[in-house]
Amino acid sequence: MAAHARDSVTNPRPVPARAGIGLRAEHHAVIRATRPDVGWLEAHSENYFSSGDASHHALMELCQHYPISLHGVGLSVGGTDPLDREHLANLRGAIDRYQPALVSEHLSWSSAGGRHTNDLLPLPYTHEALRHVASRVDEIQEALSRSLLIENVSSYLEFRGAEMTEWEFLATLSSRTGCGILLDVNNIYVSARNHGFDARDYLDGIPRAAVGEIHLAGHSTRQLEGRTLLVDTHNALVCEEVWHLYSQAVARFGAVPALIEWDMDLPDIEVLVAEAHRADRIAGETLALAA
Amino acid sequence: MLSLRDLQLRFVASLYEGGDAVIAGAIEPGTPSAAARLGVYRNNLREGFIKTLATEFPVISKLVGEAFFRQTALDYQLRHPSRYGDLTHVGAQFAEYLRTHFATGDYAYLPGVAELEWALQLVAIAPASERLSAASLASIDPGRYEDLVFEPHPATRLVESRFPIVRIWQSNQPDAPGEVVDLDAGGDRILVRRRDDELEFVHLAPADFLFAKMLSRRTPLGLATDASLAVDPQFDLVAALGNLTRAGAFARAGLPH
Repeated sequence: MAAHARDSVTNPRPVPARAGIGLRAEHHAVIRATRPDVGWLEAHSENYFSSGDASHHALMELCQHYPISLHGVGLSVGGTDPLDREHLANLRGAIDRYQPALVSEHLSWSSAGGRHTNDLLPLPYTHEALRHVASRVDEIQEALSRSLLIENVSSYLEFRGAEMTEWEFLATLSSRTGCGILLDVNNIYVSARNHGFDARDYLDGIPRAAVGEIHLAGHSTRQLEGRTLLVDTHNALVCEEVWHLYSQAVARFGAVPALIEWDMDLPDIEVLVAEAHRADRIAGETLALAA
Repeated sequence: MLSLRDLQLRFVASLYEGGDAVIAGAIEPGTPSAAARLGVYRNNLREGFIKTLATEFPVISKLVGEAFFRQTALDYQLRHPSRYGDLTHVGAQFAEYLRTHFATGDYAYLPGVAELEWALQLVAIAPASERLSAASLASIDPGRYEDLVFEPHPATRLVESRFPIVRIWQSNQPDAPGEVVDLDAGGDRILVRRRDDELEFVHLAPADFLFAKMLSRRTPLGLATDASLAVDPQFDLVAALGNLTRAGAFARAGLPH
Protein backbone atom coordinates (compact mmCIF):
# COMPACT_ATOMS: atom_id res chain seq x y z
CA MET A 1 0.00 0.00 0.00
CA ALA A 2 1.40 3.38 -1.00
CA ALA A 3 0.39 4.91 2.31
CA HIS A 4 2.89 2.78 4.20
CA ALA A 5 5.78 3.99 2.12
CA ARG A 6 6.04 7.37 3.86
CA ASP A 7 5.97 8.37 7.51
CA SER A 8 5.08 11.99 6.98
CA VAL A 9 3.85 14.33 4.33
CA THR A 10 6.02 17.01 2.82
CA ASN A 11 5.13 20.21 0.96
CA PRO A 12 1.52 20.58 2.05
CA ARG A 13 -0.71 21.96 -0.66
CA PRO A 14 -2.66 25.07 0.30
CA VAL A 15 -6.39 24.64 0.71
CA PRO A 16 -7.95 26.23 -2.41
CA ALA A 17 -10.85 28.70 -2.45
CA ARG A 18 -13.17 25.86 -3.39
CA ALA A 19 -15.53 23.67 -1.42
CA GLY A 20 -14.24 20.58 0.35
CA ILE A 21 -15.95 17.93 2.45
CA GLY A 22 -15.56 16.66 5.99
CA LEU A 23 -13.68 13.34 6.02
CA ARG A 24 -15.42 10.60 8.02
CA ALA A 25 -14.11 7.06 8.59
CA GLU A 26 -17.21 5.57 6.94
CA HIS A 27 -16.12 7.26 3.69
CA HIS A 28 -12.39 6.40 3.81
CA ALA A 29 -12.69 3.44 1.44
CA VAL A 30 -14.91 5.12 -1.16
CA ILE A 31 -12.81 8.30 -1.23
CA ARG A 32 -9.60 6.28 -1.62
CA ALA A 33 -11.17 4.22 -4.40
CA THR A 34 -12.99 6.93 -6.37
CA ARG A 35 -11.19 10.21 -5.48
CA PRO A 36 -14.24 12.44 -5.80
CA ASP A 37 -13.80 15.87 -7.36
CA VAL A 38 -13.78 18.13 -4.29
CA GLY A 39 -11.32 20.88 -3.48
CA TRP A 40 -10.00 19.49 -0.20
CA LEU A 41 -10.74 17.36 2.87
CA GLU A 42 -11.17 18.31 6.52
CA ALA A 43 -10.48 15.71 9.22
CA HIS A 44 -11.45 15.90 12.90
CA SER A 45 -8.05 16.15 14.61
CA GLU A 46 -8.92 13.81 17.49
CA ASN A 47 -9.77 10.97 15.08
CA TYR A 48 -6.18 11.01 13.80
CA PHE A 49 -4.21 11.11 17.06
CA SER A 50 -2.95 7.56 16.47
CA SER A 51 0.09 7.10 14.28
CA GLY A 52 -0.65 3.44 13.65
CA ASP A 53 -4.33 2.75 13.06
CA ALA A 54 -6.44 2.28 9.94
CA SER A 55 -7.60 5.92 10.00
CA HIS A 56 -3.98 7.07 10.02
CA HIS A 57 -3.16 4.94 6.98
CA ALA A 58 -6.23 6.27 5.15
CA LEU A 59 -5.36 9.91 5.86
CA MET A 60 -1.69 9.43 4.95
CA GLU A 61 -2.79 8.19 1.55
CA LEU A 62 -5.41 10.90 1.07
CA CYS A 63 -2.81 13.56 1.94
CA GLN A 64 -1.11 12.68 -1.35
CA HIS A 65 -4.25 13.55 -3.31
CA TYR A 66 -6.02 16.36 -1.48
CA PRO A 67 -5.12 19.48 0.51
CA ILE A 68 -5.96 18.77 4.16
CA SER A 69 -7.32 20.71 7.12
CA LEU A 70 -7.33 19.48 10.74
CA HIS A 71 -10.39 20.58 12.73
CA GLY A 72 -10.30 20.05 16.51
CA VAL A 73 -13.37 19.51 18.66
CA GLY A 74 -11.88 18.60 22.06
CA LEU A 75 -9.25 21.11 23.16
CA SER A 76 -11.69 23.24 25.21
CA VAL A 77 -10.12 26.50 24.04
CA GLY A 78 -12.36 28.62 26.29
CA GLY A 79 -12.14 26.32 29.29
CA THR A 80 -10.74 27.37 32.67
CA ASP A 81 -9.29 23.95 33.54
CA PRO A 82 -5.57 23.81 32.71
CA LEU A 83 -4.92 23.25 29.02
CA ASP A 84 -4.59 19.50 28.41
CA ARG A 85 -0.91 19.16 27.53
CA GLU A 86 -1.28 15.57 26.36
CA HIS A 87 -4.10 16.57 24.00
CA LEU A 88 -1.95 19.41 22.71
CA ALA A 89 1.01 17.06 22.18
CA ASN A 90 -1.24 14.66 20.27
CA LEU A 91 -2.48 17.54 18.12
CA ARG A 92 1.08 18.63 17.48
CA GLY A 93 1.92 15.05 16.47
CA ALA A 94 -0.98 14.95 14.01
CA ILE A 95 0.08 18.31 12.53
CA ASP A 96 3.63 17.02 12.09
CA ARG A 97 2.39 13.84 10.39
CA TYR A 98 -0.20 15.26 8.02
CA GLN A 99 1.12 18.81 7.50
CA PRO A 100 -2.36 20.30 7.18
CA ALA A 101 -2.68 23.64 5.41
CA LEU A 102 -5.27 24.77 7.99
CA VAL A 103 -5.74 23.97 11.70
CA SER A 104 -8.91 25.04 13.48
CA GLU A 105 -10.57 24.95 16.91
CA HIS A 106 -13.83 26.30 18.37
CA LEU A 107 -14.88 29.43 20.23
CA SER A 108 -16.30 27.37 23.07
CA TRP A 109 -15.38 25.35 26.13
CA SER A 110 -15.98 21.70 27.04
CA SER A 111 -14.90 20.84 30.56
CA ALA A 112 -14.68 22.17 34.12
CA GLY A 113 -13.41 20.61 37.32
CA GLY A 114 -12.00 17.70 35.33
CA ARG A 115 -15.37 16.65 33.93
CA HIS A 116 -15.67 16.80 30.15
CA THR A 117 -18.95 17.26 28.35
CA ASN A 118 -17.40 16.53 24.93
CA ASP A 119 -19.65 19.27 23.60
CA LEU A 120 -19.08 22.83 22.32
CA LEU A 121 -20.47 24.96 25.15
CA PRO A 122 -21.17 28.70 24.82
CA LEU A 123 -19.07 31.40 26.50
CA PRO A 124 -20.32 34.51 28.25
CA TYR A 125 -19.35 37.46 26.05
CA THR A 126 -17.56 39.46 28.73
CA HIS A 127 -14.20 41.22 28.87
CA GLU A 128 -13.04 38.65 31.44
CA ALA A 129 -13.86 35.77 29.09
CA LEU A 130 -12.24 37.56 26.16
CA ARG A 131 -9.00 38.06 28.10
CA HIS A 132 -9.04 34.40 29.10
CA VAL A 133 -9.77 33.02 25.63
CA ALA A 134 -7.16 35.31 24.06
CA SER A 135 -4.51 34.04 26.48
CA ARG A 136 -5.46 30.43 25.73
CA VAL A 137 -5.34 31.00 21.96
CA ASP A 138 -1.90 32.61 22.42
CA GLU A 139 -0.77 29.60 24.47
CA ILE A 140 -2.05 27.10 21.89
CA GLN A 141 -0.60 28.95 18.92
CA GLU A 142 2.72 29.16 20.76
CA ALA A 143 2.69 25.43 21.54
CA LEU A 144 1.81 24.53 17.95
CA SER A 145 4.10 27.16 16.39
CA ARG A 146 1.35 28.20 13.99
CA SER A 147 -1.77 30.27 13.83
CA LEU A 148 -5.23 28.81 14.29
CA LEU A 149 -8.60 29.43 12.77
CA ILE A 150 -11.26 29.83 15.48
CA GLU A 151 -14.84 28.86 14.65
CA ASN A 152 -18.10 30.28 15.99
CA VAL A 153 -20.43 27.60 17.40
CA SER A 154 -24.21 27.22 17.50
CA SER A 155 -25.71 28.04 20.89
CA TYR A 156 -29.01 27.34 22.61
CA LEU A 157 -28.72 29.85 25.43
CA GLU A 158 -27.07 33.18 26.20
CA PHE A 159 -25.50 34.24 29.48
CA ARG A 160 -26.66 37.39 31.22
CA GLY A 161 -24.30 40.30 31.62
CA ALA A 162 -22.89 40.19 28.08
CA GLU A 163 -20.59 43.14 27.45
CA MET A 164 -20.37 42.64 23.70
CA THR A 165 -21.93 40.61 20.90
CA GLU A 166 -20.51 37.26 19.83
CA TRP A 167 -19.18 38.79 16.60
CA GLU A 168 -17.47 41.60 18.51
CA PHE A 169 -15.93 38.97 20.79
CA LEU A 170 -14.71 36.90 17.83
CA ALA A 171 -13.40 39.90 15.86
CA THR A 172 -11.51 41.22 18.90
CA LEU A 173 -10.10 37.77 19.65
CA SER A 174 -8.79 37.63 16.10
CA SER A 175 -7.18 41.06 16.23
CA ARG A 176 -5.62 40.41 19.67
CA THR A 177 -4.15 36.99 18.93
CA GLY A 178 -3.67 36.99 15.18
CA CYS A 179 -5.87 33.92 14.86
CA GLY A 180 -7.99 33.65 11.74
CA ILE A 181 -11.73 33.08 11.76
CA LEU A 182 -13.52 29.98 10.58
CA LEU A 183 -16.96 31.36 9.95
CA ASP A 184 -19.70 28.74 10.22
CA VAL A 185 -22.66 30.33 8.45
CA ASN A 186 -25.00 27.54 9.58
CA ASN A 187 -24.02 28.27 13.19
CA ILE A 188 -24.64 31.98 12.64
CA TYR A 189 -28.08 31.16 11.22
CA VAL A 190 -28.93 28.74 14.07
CA SER A 191 -27.83 31.18 16.81
CA ALA A 192 -29.51 34.15 15.07
CA ARG A 193 -32.81 32.26 15.04
CA ASN A 194 -32.38 31.02 18.62
CA HIS A 195 -31.42 34.40 20.08
CA GLY A 196 -33.17 36.83 17.75
CA PHE A 197 -30.26 38.74 16.21
CA ASP A 198 -29.77 39.57 12.53
CA ALA A 199 -27.31 37.24 10.80
CA ARG A 200 -26.31 40.11 8.49
CA ASP A 201 -25.10 42.13 11.48
CA TYR A 202 -22.86 39.17 12.37
CA LEU A 203 -21.33 39.05 8.87
CA ASP A 204 -20.86 42.83 8.83
CA GLY A 205 -19.13 42.71 12.23
CA ILE A 206 -16.41 40.29 11.09
CA PRO A 207 -13.34 41.91 9.49
CA ARG A 208 -12.99 40.95 5.82
CA ALA A 209 -9.38 39.80 5.99
CA ALA A 210 -9.80 37.57 9.05
CA VAL A 211 -11.96 34.84 7.49
CA GLY A 212 -9.85 31.89 6.36
CA GLU A 213 -12.58 29.29 5.94
CA ILE A 214 -16.36 28.94 5.87
CA HIS A 215 -18.39 25.99 7.18
CA LEU A 216 -21.74 24.83 5.83
CA ALA A 217 -23.94 22.18 7.43
CA GLY A 218 -27.49 21.09 8.09
CA HIS A 219 -29.34 21.47 11.37
CA SER A 220 -32.58 20.23 12.92
CA THR A 221 -35.39 21.77 14.92
CA ARG A 222 -36.77 21.00 18.37
CA GLN A 223 -40.04 22.18 19.89
CA LEU A 224 -39.56 23.52 23.42
CA GLU A 225 -42.33 25.16 25.42
CA GLY A 226 -44.22 25.96 22.22
CA ARG A 227 -41.22 27.59 20.52
CA THR A 228 -38.87 26.25 17.86
CA LEU A 229 -35.22 25.93 18.78
CA LEU A 230 -32.69 25.14 16.03
CA VAL A 231 -30.07 22.53 16.95
CA ASP A 232 -26.75 22.10 15.14
CA THR A 233 -26.88 18.38 14.34
CA HIS A 234 -24.88 18.08 11.08
CA ASN A 235 -27.35 15.49 9.87
CA ALA A 236 -29.07 17.11 6.90
CA LEU A 237 -28.68 19.08 3.67
CA VAL A 238 -27.72 22.73 3.97
CA CYS A 239 -31.04 24.65 4.11
CA GLU A 240 -31.99 27.37 1.60
CA GLU A 241 -31.67 30.16 4.15
CA VAL A 242 -28.09 29.10 4.94
CA TRP A 243 -27.22 28.93 1.22
CA HIS A 244 -28.52 32.49 0.95
CA LEU A 245 -26.41 33.55 3.94
CA TYR A 246 -23.41 31.79 2.35
CA SER A 247 -23.87 33.87 -0.80
CA GLN A 248 -23.90 37.02 1.35
CA ALA A 249 -20.75 35.82 3.13
CA VAL A 250 -18.97 35.23 -0.19
CA ALA A 251 -20.01 38.71 -1.32
CA ARG A 252 -18.41 40.15 1.81
CA PHE A 253 -15.37 37.91 2.34
CA GLY A 254 -14.56 36.95 -1.26
CA ALA A 255 -13.28 33.58 -2.43
CA VAL A 256 -12.64 31.52 0.72
CA PRO A 257 -12.31 27.72 1.20
CA ALA A 258 -15.73 26.33 2.15
CA LEU A 259 -16.57 23.02 3.76
CA ILE A 260 -19.60 20.73 3.82
CA GLU A 261 -19.87 19.14 7.29
CA TRP A 262 -22.00 16.07 7.93
CA ASP A 263 -21.61 13.89 11.05
CA MET A 264 -24.80 12.04 11.92
CA ASP A 265 -26.96 9.87 9.62
CA LEU A 266 -24.11 10.05 7.12
CA PRO A 267 -25.34 9.83 3.50
CA ASP A 268 -23.53 8.39 0.45
CA ILE A 269 -20.47 10.35 -0.60
CA GLU A 270 -22.29 11.57 -3.75
CA VAL A 271 -24.61 13.67 -1.57
CA LEU A 272 -21.66 15.46 0.07
CA VAL A 273 -19.95 15.97 -3.28
CA ALA A 274 -23.15 17.46 -4.75
CA GLU A 275 -23.39 19.85 -1.79
CA ALA A 276 -19.75 20.89 -2.30
CA HIS A 277 -20.42 21.51 -6.01
CA ARG A 278 -23.45 23.59 -5.12
CA ALA A 279 -21.26 25.69 -2.79
CA ASP A 280 -18.77 26.18 -5.64
CA ARG A 281 -21.58 27.22 -7.99
CA ILE A 282 -23.03 29.73 -5.53
CA ALA A 283 -19.60 31.22 -4.80
CA GLY A 284 -18.86 31.48 -8.55
CA GLU A 285 -22.18 33.19 -9.29
CA THR A 286 -21.81 35.57 -6.36
CA LEU A 287 -18.28 36.58 -7.31
CA ALA A 288 -19.27 36.98 -10.99
CA LEU A 289 -22.08 39.33 -10.00
CA ALA A 290 -19.70 41.37 -7.85
CA ALA A 291 -17.07 41.63 -10.60
CA MET B 1 -22.01 38.22 38.22
CA LEU B 2 -20.29 34.86 38.31
CA SER B 3 -16.64 34.60 37.36
CA LEU B 4 -15.95 32.61 34.18
CA ARG B 5 -14.52 29.81 36.33
CA ASP B 6 -17.52 29.67 38.64
CA LEU B 7 -19.94 29.82 35.72
CA GLN B 8 -18.24 26.86 34.03
CA LEU B 9 -18.10 24.75 37.21
CA ARG B 10 -21.79 25.40 37.90
CA PHE B 11 -22.76 24.74 34.28
CA VAL B 12 -21.02 21.35 34.20
CA ALA B 13 -22.44 20.43 37.63
CA SER B 14 -25.91 21.28 36.36
CA LEU B 15 -25.52 19.15 33.24
CA TYR B 16 -24.13 16.15 35.12
CA GLU B 17 -26.22 16.28 38.28
CA GLY B 18 -29.45 17.53 36.77
CA GLY B 19 -30.26 20.59 38.90
CA ASP B 20 -30.94 23.84 37.05
CA ALA B 21 -30.90 26.19 40.08
CA VAL B 22 -27.08 26.45 40.34
CA ILE B 23 -26.80 28.10 36.92
CA ALA B 24 -30.28 29.20 35.76
CA GLY B 25 -29.81 32.70 37.22
CA ALA B 26 -26.83 33.32 34.93
CA ILE B 27 -28.85 32.56 31.77
CA GLU B 28 -30.89 35.12 29.83
CA PRO B 29 -34.55 34.53 30.71
CA GLY B 30 -37.25 34.02 28.09
CA THR B 31 -39.04 31.33 26.14
CA PRO B 32 -37.88 28.62 25.97
CA SER B 33 -36.90 28.91 29.64
CA ALA B 34 -33.34 28.58 30.93
CA ALA B 35 -34.24 25.12 32.21
CA ALA B 36 -35.45 23.99 28.79
CA ARG B 37 -32.35 25.40 27.07
CA LEU B 38 -30.07 23.70 29.62
CA GLY B 39 -31.98 20.54 28.81
CA VAL B 40 -30.71 20.65 25.23
CA TYR B 41 -27.11 20.56 26.47
CA ARG B 42 -27.93 17.91 29.09
CA ASN B 43 -29.50 15.78 26.39
CA ASN B 44 -26.38 16.21 24.21
CA LEU B 45 -24.20 15.15 27.14
CA ARG B 46 -26.20 12.01 27.85
CA GLU B 47 -26.99 10.94 24.30
CA GLY B 48 -23.45 11.65 23.13
CA PHE B 49 -22.02 9.54 25.93
CA ILE B 50 -24.41 6.63 25.36
CA LYS B 51 -23.63 6.69 21.65
CA THR B 52 -19.86 6.75 22.23
CA LEU B 53 -20.01 3.91 24.73
CA ALA B 54 -22.24 1.85 22.41
CA THR B 55 -19.72 2.40 19.59
CA GLU B 56 -16.90 1.17 21.82
CA PHE B 57 -18.90 -1.76 23.25
CA PRO B 58 -21.24 -2.90 20.45
CA VAL B 59 -21.39 -6.51 21.69
CA ILE B 60 -22.24 -5.52 25.28
CA SER B 61 -24.89 -3.18 23.87
CA LYS B 62 -26.38 -6.02 21.81
CA LEU B 63 -26.18 -8.55 24.65
CA VAL B 64 -28.05 -6.45 27.23
CA GLY B 65 -30.45 -4.67 24.85
CA GLU B 66 -30.84 -0.95 24.19
CA ALA B 67 -32.91 0.06 27.22
CA PHE B 68 -30.65 -1.68 29.75
CA PHE B 69 -27.53 -0.43 27.99
CA ARG B 70 -28.77 3.18 28.13
CA GLN B 71 -29.52 2.90 31.84
CA THR B 72 -26.15 1.26 32.52
CA ALA B 73 -24.27 3.85 30.43
CA LEU B 74 -25.88 6.76 32.31
CA ASP B 75 -25.02 5.28 35.70
CA TYR B 76 -21.46 4.62 34.50
CA GLN B 77 -21.23 8.22 33.22
CA LEU B 78 -22.13 9.61 36.66
CA ARG B 79 -19.47 7.48 38.36
CA HIS B 80 -16.88 7.81 35.60
CA PRO B 81 -17.40 11.10 33.77
CA SER B 82 -15.40 11.73 30.62
CA ARG B 83 -12.02 13.19 31.58
CA TYR B 84 -10.63 13.97 28.12
CA GLY B 85 -11.51 15.93 25.02
CA ASP B 86 -10.57 12.86 23.03
CA LEU B 87 -13.47 10.38 23.20
CA THR B 88 -11.25 7.31 22.90
CA HIS B 89 -10.81 7.28 26.70
CA VAL B 90 -14.49 7.15 27.65
CA GLY B 91 -14.77 3.38 28.09
CA ALA B 92 -11.55 2.86 30.05
CA GLN B 93 -13.29 1.85 33.32
CA PHE B 94 -16.36 0.18 31.82
CA ALA B 95 -15.19 -3.44 32.18
CA GLU B 96 -14.22 -2.75 35.80
CA TYR B 97 -17.57 -1.04 36.40
CA LEU B 98 -19.40 -4.08 35.03
CA ARG B 99 -17.24 -6.34 37.21
CA THR B 100 -18.34 -4.54 40.37
CA HIS B 101 -22.02 -4.74 39.33
CA PHE B 102 -22.23 -8.13 37.65
CA ALA B 103 -19.62 -10.27 39.43
CA THR B 104 -22.11 -13.10 39.81
CA GLY B 105 -25.40 -14.16 38.27
CA ASP B 106 -26.64 -14.40 34.69
CA TYR B 107 -24.50 -11.48 33.50
CA ALA B 108 -21.18 -12.61 35.05
CA TYR B 109 -19.72 -13.06 31.55
CA LEU B 110 -20.24 -9.36 30.66
CA PRO B 111 -17.03 -7.95 32.27
CA GLY B 112 -14.87 -10.37 30.26
CA VAL B 113 -16.63 -9.47 27.01
CA ALA B 114 -16.25 -5.76 27.86
CA GLU B 115 -12.56 -6.27 28.55
CA LEU B 116 -12.21 -7.92 25.14
CA GLU B 117 -14.02 -5.04 23.41
CA TRP B 118 -11.87 -2.47 25.24
CA ALA B 119 -8.71 -4.39 24.26
CA LEU B 120 -9.86 -4.27 20.62
CA GLN B 121 -10.39 -0.52 20.93
CA LEU B 122 -6.92 0.07 22.42
CA VAL B 123 -5.21 -2.22 19.95
CA ALA B 124 -6.98 -0.54 17.02
CA ILE B 125 -5.71 2.95 17.91
CA ALA B 126 -2.26 2.01 19.27
CA PRO B 127 0.72 3.73 17.66
CA ALA B 128 2.81 1.93 15.09
CA SER B 129 5.94 0.22 16.41
CA GLU B 130 8.63 -2.22 15.37
CA ARG B 131 8.15 -5.89 16.26
CA LEU B 132 10.76 -8.04 17.96
CA SER B 133 12.28 -10.53 15.55
CA ALA B 134 13.73 -13.93 16.41
CA ALA B 135 16.96 -12.78 14.76
CA SER B 136 17.49 -9.94 17.21
CA LEU B 137 17.15 -12.40 20.12
CA ALA B 138 19.92 -14.49 18.59
CA SER B 139 22.37 -11.60 18.97
CA ILE B 140 22.10 -11.71 22.79
CA ASP B 141 24.61 -13.64 24.89
CA PRO B 142 22.77 -16.88 25.90
CA GLY B 143 24.44 -16.67 29.31
CA ARG B 144 22.30 -13.60 30.07
CA TYR B 145 18.94 -14.80 28.71
CA GLU B 146 17.44 -15.07 32.17
CA ASP B 147 17.88 -11.32 32.68
CA LEU B 148 16.14 -10.40 29.42
CA VAL B 149 13.25 -7.96 29.74
CA PHE B 150 10.58 -7.72 27.03
CA GLU B 151 8.57 -4.70 25.99
CA PRO B 152 5.04 -5.55 24.83
CA HIS B 153 4.07 -4.32 21.38
CA PRO B 154 1.70 -1.35 21.81
CA ALA B 155 -0.85 -2.87 19.40
CA THR B 156 -1.39 -5.96 21.59
CA ARG B 157 -3.39 -6.75 24.75
CA LEU B 158 -3.74 -9.90 26.83
CA VAL B 159 -7.28 -10.81 27.91
CA GLU B 160 -8.43 -13.69 30.11
CA SER B 161 -11.89 -14.83 31.19
CA ARG B 162 -13.43 -17.94 32.69
CA PHE B 163 -16.12 -17.62 29.99
CA PRO B 164 -15.78 -18.32 26.23
CA ILE B 165 -15.62 -14.59 25.41
CA VAL B 166 -14.25 -15.04 21.89
CA ARG B 167 -17.20 -17.24 20.86
CA ILE B 168 -19.62 -14.79 22.51
CA TRP B 169 -17.97 -11.89 20.69
CA GLN B 170 -17.94 -13.69 17.34
CA SER B 171 -21.54 -14.86 17.55
CA ASN B 172 -22.68 -11.27 18.25
CA GLN B 173 -21.06 -9.66 15.23
CA PRO B 174 -23.54 -7.94 12.88
CA ASP B 175 -23.14 -10.57 10.14
CA ALA B 176 -22.90 -13.63 12.42
CA PRO B 177 -25.61 -16.29 12.32
CA GLY B 178 -27.52 -16.53 15.60
CA GLU B 179 -25.80 -19.06 17.83
CA VAL B 180 -26.35 -20.11 21.43
CA VAL B 181 -22.99 -20.10 23.19
CA ASP B 182 -22.53 -22.55 26.07
CA LEU B 183 -21.24 -20.36 28.93
CA ASP B 184 -19.73 -23.44 30.57
CA ALA B 185 -17.69 -24.32 27.49
CA GLY B 186 -14.47 -23.16 29.15
CA GLY B 187 -12.61 -19.89 29.40
CA ASP B 188 -10.39 -17.98 26.96
CA ARG B 189 -6.85 -16.69 27.25
CA ILE B 190 -5.97 -14.60 24.25
CA LEU B 191 -3.58 -12.15 22.76
CA VAL B 192 -5.43 -9.42 20.81
CA ARG B 193 -3.23 -7.95 18.11
CA ARG B 194 -3.30 -5.66 15.11
CA ARG B 195 -1.59 -6.65 11.92
CA ASP B 196 -1.93 -4.63 8.66
CA ASP B 197 -4.93 -2.73 10.10
CA GLU B 198 -6.70 -6.05 10.90
CA LEU B 199 -7.51 -7.03 14.51
CA GLU B 200 -6.92 -10.68 15.39
CA PHE B 201 -7.18 -13.06 18.34
CA VAL B 202 -4.42 -15.55 19.15
CA HIS B 203 -5.45 -18.26 21.65
CA LEU B 204 -2.82 -19.12 24.27
CA ALA B 205 -2.42 -22.15 26.59
CA PRO B 206 -2.73 -21.32 30.33
CA ALA B 207 1.01 -21.48 31.07
CA ASP B 208 1.84 -19.53 27.88
CA PHE B 209 -0.71 -16.87 28.85
CA LEU B 210 0.79 -16.48 32.32
CA PHE B 211 4.26 -16.34 30.75
CA ALA B 212 3.13 -13.63 28.30
CA LYS B 213 1.43 -11.70 31.10
CA MET B 214 4.57 -11.71 33.24
CA LEU B 215 6.81 -10.70 30.35
CA SER B 216 4.41 -7.88 29.47
CA ARG B 217 4.89 -6.58 33.04
CA ARG B 218 8.66 -6.54 32.45
CA THR B 219 9.33 -9.58 34.64
CA PRO B 220 12.77 -10.91 33.60
CA LEU B 221 12.70 -14.03 31.41
CA GLY B 222 14.17 -16.32 34.11
CA LEU B 223 11.54 -15.46 36.73
CA ALA B 224 8.70 -15.64 34.18
CA THR B 225 9.89 -19.09 33.12
CA ASP B 226 10.01 -20.36 36.72
CA ALA B 227 6.47 -19.09 37.34
CA SER B 228 5.16 -20.78 34.19
CA LEU B 229 6.86 -24.05 35.07
CA ALA B 230 5.18 -23.93 38.47
CA VAL B 231 1.79 -23.78 36.72
CA ASP B 232 2.66 -26.40 34.12
CA PRO B 233 5.71 -28.64 34.55
CA GLN B 234 5.50 -29.35 30.78
CA PHE B 235 5.90 -25.64 29.97
CA ASP B 236 8.21 -25.33 26.96
CA LEU B 237 10.10 -22.03 27.14
CA VAL B 238 11.54 -22.16 23.61
CA ALA B 239 8.19 -23.04 22.04
CA ALA B 240 6.28 -20.42 24.06
CA LEU B 241 8.76 -17.64 23.34
CA GLY B 242 8.79 -18.58 19.65
CA ASN B 243 4.97 -18.55 19.49
CA LEU B 244 4.67 -15.18 21.22
CA THR B 245 7.41 -13.62 19.10
CA ARG B 246 5.79 -14.90 15.88
CA ALA B 247 2.43 -13.62 17.14
CA GLY B 248 3.98 -10.16 17.40
CA ALA B 249 3.56 -9.83 21.17
CA PHE B 250 6.76 -7.84 21.71
CA ALA B 251 8.25 -4.65 20.35
CA ARG B 252 11.77 -5.34 21.61
CA ALA B 253 13.82 -7.12 24.26
CA GLY B 254 16.92 -6.05 26.09
CA LEU B 255 19.13 -6.42 29.12
CA PRO B 256 18.71 -4.01 32.02
CA HIS B 257 21.56 -1.53 32.27
